[in-house]
Amino acid sequence: MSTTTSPQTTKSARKDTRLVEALNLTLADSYALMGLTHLAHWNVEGPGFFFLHKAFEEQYEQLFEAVDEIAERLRALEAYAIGGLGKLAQTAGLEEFKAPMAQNDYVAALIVAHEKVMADLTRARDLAGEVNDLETQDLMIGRLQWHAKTVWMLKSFLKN
Amino acid sequence: MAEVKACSCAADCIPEFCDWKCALRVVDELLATPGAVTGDDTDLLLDFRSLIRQQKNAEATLRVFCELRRRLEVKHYLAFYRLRSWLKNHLLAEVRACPAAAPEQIPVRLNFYCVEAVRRDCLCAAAERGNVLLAPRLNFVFRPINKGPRTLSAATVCASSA
Repeated sequence: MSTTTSPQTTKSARKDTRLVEALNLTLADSYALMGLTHLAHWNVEGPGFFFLHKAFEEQYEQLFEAVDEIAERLRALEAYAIGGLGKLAQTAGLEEFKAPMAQNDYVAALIVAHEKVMADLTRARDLAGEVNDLETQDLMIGRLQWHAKTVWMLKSFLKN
Repeated sequence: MAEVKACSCAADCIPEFCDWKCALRVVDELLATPGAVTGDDTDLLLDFRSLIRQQKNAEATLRVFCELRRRLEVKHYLAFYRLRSWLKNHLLAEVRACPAAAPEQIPVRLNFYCVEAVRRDCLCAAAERGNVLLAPRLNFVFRPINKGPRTLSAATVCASSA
């Protein structure tokens, strides 16, 4: 199996509106999740404050980088990235936090949000595979790995 | 926690209300995990499962949930967060200022561990809306669910969480 994407394949990926829509959805998801994680970073309180404050900071910083990567992949496919806070929030459809919440509720709510993002990333990964766009598929796999690791860490925090 | 492959309430899973993992599925995962729930807690969890499956007695559902939450939340925080989210979206309090008044629907906040505290919170919320509660009556009810054809996104929700 070839490990590079031929120019012809990239062309078919560019034409695939489903893939572009799926990528834009992952972009919106990641941006919305970044906002929620940032909110949690600011407002978390309790005995786990220092750990969670630091962990959430690392997470939203990594999500900021991810958003840029996904948007630039869309441009590489000659599609446009969606933007604007309202549009991104509406597209993502993640439930907003009703701060202040208990520290464990922030963690649980973020796990639920990560799961939604992972479901959309999985769909984008599979669509990229269908059109043999290996670069996009690789990006989605990388994102999925990061989210899975983050969910594992958040779940571990809740274990008693 | 062991993963249950089939979503036990797929036919009723409405994404706007289900917060990604519907309550039956969460309960089934708890029941399927060896050692997660034992003894009387298992019986109570089965009662809760029956109540949310039937969706006929909201007050009893809330009462059993609060009892389960007191017993199991520390050990299964995420599962109970999902159940709370589900109940928050599926339950309503209907408050009448007096027996003859029209009912007003109040969202149920589950920040408490007993039904009486939830009831008091709902009455306070009704009073904050300007209602003069002369001889208030409060009933917990299940929110009516649109059981029409399921959308693709609803199917995706259940499939993705399976």
